[in-house]
Amino acid sequence: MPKQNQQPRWKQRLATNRDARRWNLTSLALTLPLLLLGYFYYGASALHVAVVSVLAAVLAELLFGRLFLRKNTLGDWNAVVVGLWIACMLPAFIAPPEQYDMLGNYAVWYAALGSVFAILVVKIPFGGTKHMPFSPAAAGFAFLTACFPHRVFTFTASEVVAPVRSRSMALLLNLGENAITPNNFFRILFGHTVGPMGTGVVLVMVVLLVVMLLLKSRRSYAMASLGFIVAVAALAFLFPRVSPGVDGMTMNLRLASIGMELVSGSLLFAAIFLLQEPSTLPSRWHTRLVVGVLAGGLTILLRHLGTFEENVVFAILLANAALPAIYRLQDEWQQQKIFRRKQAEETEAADA
Amino acid sequence: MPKQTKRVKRESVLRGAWLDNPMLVQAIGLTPAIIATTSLRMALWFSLVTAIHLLICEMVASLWLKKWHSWARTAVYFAIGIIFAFGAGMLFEVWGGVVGQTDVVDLLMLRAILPLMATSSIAAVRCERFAVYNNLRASVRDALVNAVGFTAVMIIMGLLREGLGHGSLFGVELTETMRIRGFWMPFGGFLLLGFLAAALKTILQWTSQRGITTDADEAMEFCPEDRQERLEKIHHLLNAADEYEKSRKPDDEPAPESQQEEAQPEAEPKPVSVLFEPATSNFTREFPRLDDLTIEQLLAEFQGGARDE
Repeated sequence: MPKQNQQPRWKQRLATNRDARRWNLTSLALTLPLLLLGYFYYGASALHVAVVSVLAAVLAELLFGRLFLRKNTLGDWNAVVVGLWIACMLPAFIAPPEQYDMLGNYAVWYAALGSVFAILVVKIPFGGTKHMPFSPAAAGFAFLTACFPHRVFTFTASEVVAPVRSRSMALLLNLGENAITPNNFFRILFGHTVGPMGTGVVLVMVVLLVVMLLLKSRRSYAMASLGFIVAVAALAFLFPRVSPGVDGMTMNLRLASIGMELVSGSLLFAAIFLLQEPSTLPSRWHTRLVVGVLAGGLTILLRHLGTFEENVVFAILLANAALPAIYRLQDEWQQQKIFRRKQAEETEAADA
Repeated sequence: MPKQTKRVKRESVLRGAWLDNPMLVQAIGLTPAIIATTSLRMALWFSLVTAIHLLICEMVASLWLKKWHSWARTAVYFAIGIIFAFGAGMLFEVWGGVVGQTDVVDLLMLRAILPLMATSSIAAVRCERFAVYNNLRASVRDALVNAVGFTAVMIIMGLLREGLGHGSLFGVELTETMRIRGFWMPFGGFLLLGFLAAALKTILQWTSQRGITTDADEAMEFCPEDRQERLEKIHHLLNAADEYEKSRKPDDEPAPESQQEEAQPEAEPKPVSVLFEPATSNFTREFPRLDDLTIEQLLAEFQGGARDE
């Protein structure tokens, strides 16, 4: 028999450690296909980056979780997921500068640094998996973006498949170019582009989103992703960054703008994984949708105004920061509702 | 003229700077400090200028501004700040020709951020909280305490931000390793400040738990939050005593009415509810100001009332 004030089970966020473990293991299972595709496209260096990133996150959590939270929090698998997500957003290979030849692939060190920052600064000080106010993976990648913008966005092309263009889609969009044509549509869908190691394959992303919408435990969280993608698409249609052709801004160019915005950078990855952090979302599906729309709007705003090649993680952090304001609005609306109901009852009683 | 009710604590300057640190405990004067700590040399210069400004403001406030309205006093602090920033800026311009070239860059940069110091909250807050209630000597002491605390944090932050973010110290390059530019940027400064504050709080708690500080009570009095907690405890205690009295009364034998009427006007012990209004919720609860009543006085009041009964 449930208590009176208790929310129904599907509305609750991670209530117990078991819930948290189940959530993170599901996330891990959904992320592994992306890692395998990264291995297929970029070879062993993708796996190196992922393994080092995960190891750094786990070690940081092992050491500092014991020190500050006074308990072992590794059991919920969140550190592994955070490390993996940061690795997925990085390039598989960053060539070292000429004077440091001995260290090889630099992406490994950046991944480790981002993971340690995410765990040490964003996750543990706020009390662990169930209480963190910001998505740690987004914060870790935002830190790397702010510190090393020239390194994090130097993508190398895959040796297995030939990319449609030699530049990344985000950079092309920043330059106002349109890379989507009827000929290479399917190649872009299968990820034959230059970009981060785990976020390029659009088809898999769409499949993952559909799977999330079908999973009962993920459905209401996936509404945030849906709202995010719809908002980005609508704003890309209204305010295209693709430069107009000879006939001006035609309908085809506007549709291509939507495609370019969704495909470029790690936007779909961030929408599907980073935005769905349970502790950073409100408790009802329609409010989650609103948060998703807010994050989408912020993403387009930052893409128009920002200086970096990819700004989606900053938009997600800003949307996370808006959560207390959303709670306050919810409370206010609830109180107004109760007040109006009381007033109606009083007037009914007076009439009677 | 406001009453001089605030007690003047006689403890060492270093101890005050540690326990009542203006940046880490009181959280005042943060924004200019974030901008000025990108290099150690600039942090030192800025601390020096802020210290002198604070000293002048507190002296003026304790000497002449006690009878003024608070809004007029704030305007005076800002006016002093503007005059001071202007003078210091001109001084730096003259001095820039004398010292070396690396100094000139820092000094010019400092000139650009000096107007921020003019509206810095540290002088206004310390004057309003302390200097206008105390004499000149205590105010000078308070200015010293806050300047030392401010300078210590500025030096730590300047060291870390210049060393890790820029890979140099006093403008001299240290190593050719990877530089983490985040420390050098404003967000890194704010993060660093937050973690320093957390570290200070942890150390204070740790030392008071292990009994390392000999007089932990004195240390507690400097932390406003702990002070609030203690007040809450006393409040709870007094309420409980009140309730206990109310519950005890019906058990006693009711006195005849004539006696009660005679007894009332004679000796009325001050009821506890006069001192503390009954609290309804955490948000509407108001505590008496410590400026008017210290904890010792409150306890004495309570004990005296109980003894009378």
